[in-house]
Amino acid sequence: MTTPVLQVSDLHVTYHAHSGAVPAVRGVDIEISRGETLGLAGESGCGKSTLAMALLRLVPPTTQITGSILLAGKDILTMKPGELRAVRWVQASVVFQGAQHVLNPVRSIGRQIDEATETHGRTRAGGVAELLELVGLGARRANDYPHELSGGQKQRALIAMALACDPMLIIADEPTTALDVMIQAQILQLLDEIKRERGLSMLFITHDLSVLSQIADRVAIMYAGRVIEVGAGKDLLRDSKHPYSKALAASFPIIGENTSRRHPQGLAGDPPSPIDLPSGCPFHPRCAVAVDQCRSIDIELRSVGNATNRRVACVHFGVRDG
Amino acid sequence: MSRRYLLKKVIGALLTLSGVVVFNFFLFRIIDRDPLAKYRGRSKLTLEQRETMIRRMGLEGSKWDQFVVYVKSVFRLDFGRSFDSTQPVLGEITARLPATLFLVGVSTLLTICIGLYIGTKAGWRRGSRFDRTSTSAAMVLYSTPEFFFGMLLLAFVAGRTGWFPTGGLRSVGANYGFVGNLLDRIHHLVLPVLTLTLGYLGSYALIMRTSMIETLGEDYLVTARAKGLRDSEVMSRHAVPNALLPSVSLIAISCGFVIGGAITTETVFSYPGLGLATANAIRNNDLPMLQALFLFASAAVILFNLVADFVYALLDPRVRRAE
Repeated sequence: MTTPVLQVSDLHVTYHAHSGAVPAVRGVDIEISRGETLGLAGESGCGKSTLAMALLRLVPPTTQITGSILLAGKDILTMKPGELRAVRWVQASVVFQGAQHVLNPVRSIGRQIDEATETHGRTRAGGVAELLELVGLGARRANDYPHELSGGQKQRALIAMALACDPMLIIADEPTTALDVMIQAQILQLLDEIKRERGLSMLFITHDLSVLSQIADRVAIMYAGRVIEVGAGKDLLRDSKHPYSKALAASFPIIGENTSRRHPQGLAGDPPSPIDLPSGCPFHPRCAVAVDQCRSIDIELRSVGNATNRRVACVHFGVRDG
Repeated sequence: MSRRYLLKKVIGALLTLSGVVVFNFFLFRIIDRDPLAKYRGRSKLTLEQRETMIRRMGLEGSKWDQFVVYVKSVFRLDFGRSFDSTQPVLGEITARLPATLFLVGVSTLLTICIGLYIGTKAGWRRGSRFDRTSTSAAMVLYSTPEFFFGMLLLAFVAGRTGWFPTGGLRSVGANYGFVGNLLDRIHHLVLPVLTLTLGYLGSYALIMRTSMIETLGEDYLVTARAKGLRDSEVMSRHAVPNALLPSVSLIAISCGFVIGGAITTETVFSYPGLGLATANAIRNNDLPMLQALFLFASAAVILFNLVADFVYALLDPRVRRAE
């Protein structure tokens, strides 16, 4: 086995707010191998974006991060500031959500892309023009400012920017969330093509499971700061084990599959606040199949006997002791 | 820069200026003062003399006739003669203009550089010792009138130590040669410039700090950091250019007021510029002089705002490249 591109072990991310400590990520292990796309899904506030930002230590400086984040075998968490800057964008870059204010409004697209290569002392033969052509924007767009691009175009510019230093891992943080369905499909296709052509690994974060069925090799579902189910992409989406994954899958129609011609179903209740987590399994107050045990034991991820590589954190599944 | 934007702003400025011209006419017509009061005490004017003077001041005929005469003379830059010196007002103003431009120009430049630097640094390191110290100091400076600093400097620096002259533009009757005279003038400028700079520094620092703090929450700073930029680069390339935007218009407004601020500062230091001329004109009931000075001060505010609009367009592509 070669070393995985990304190996995260027992990651805890705790924000320190005025009201006290907020544990946003509570013990996550994920692994992405070369050329693989891991989809990370969950409701808003489950910690998926915090996890993504923690990978390059982009969370506020007062935030506490423990565990280990091995990027190509080197731990991000023990790096000095200079080493960390050298790794950022070169080994792993981020495709941010274009709808937000992630591009500087007073700098041209070209300069913002150039800046990344310049900082790391890398020159690209084709320059910004080649990158913009690659994402289907046209070289002329380099002189445009963010306000002159549409949502889809901005997302393409962000993808071009993420590729500027030829990283091996791309962290895509909800890159299709604010786009209409047509543009969303185009962006997904673009990301998938680029990933295949360049043999990139990708962490794809979304709250939209239907997107993951198109792009992810493996899927991890997060709830209240933990991964509660992980497995091969289509397999997990079609046959979720954890009651929360099931509810999440049931709330999305899977387009193009006749078997799923059913009404999407909502999930009652809200995800728990990270500062006031329920005892035991954090999902038990919303769970239809909760038993007494769920109130006291927060179960770890365990392999499910039959399925390939499937691991679930639920008392109803997994290899029981004895 | 789009030509339409420029044209729109220039036309706007001209319209405002003409509004001021009209307002200026009525302002001095509703002041309940006899423009000839100055002559009443000393010598009795004959009826003939009185009529000549009234004609010369453009005070004959109906209000409408007077208005037409007034507008025409404003266009010819003819503001009449000063009651006080009996010289043409325009000449009096242009003679004093360089002194004020120099004083206000130097102090404004200093204020902008120092104020924006302090504000940027305080905002970027919010809550640091530098921030706490500079923000408290800025609050004190901001809430103290500038002439008060002038009086303190006059009493404690000029008076106690004698390091600086207590007033004036230069040493009277002395000639030190070209370089010597220049140094002498700068020597006289130090305290007035310090007064104006201290007086306006606080507001610039506070404005810049606030706008810097607002910018710190922006997502594009995370993007810049993710790209591997140094903290100092994130600040200078991404945070500051955006944080400057709201400051520009506020700075323009306070720049305009500096002309007004020069009135008190120049009075305290007997610095013979437009500010002192304004104070003297008020004291001497010199209406033609006042009228021209008011017009001039308003024009300065309008001009600074126009400059701000251009600077804004230069800094912000959303303004510059708007269709």
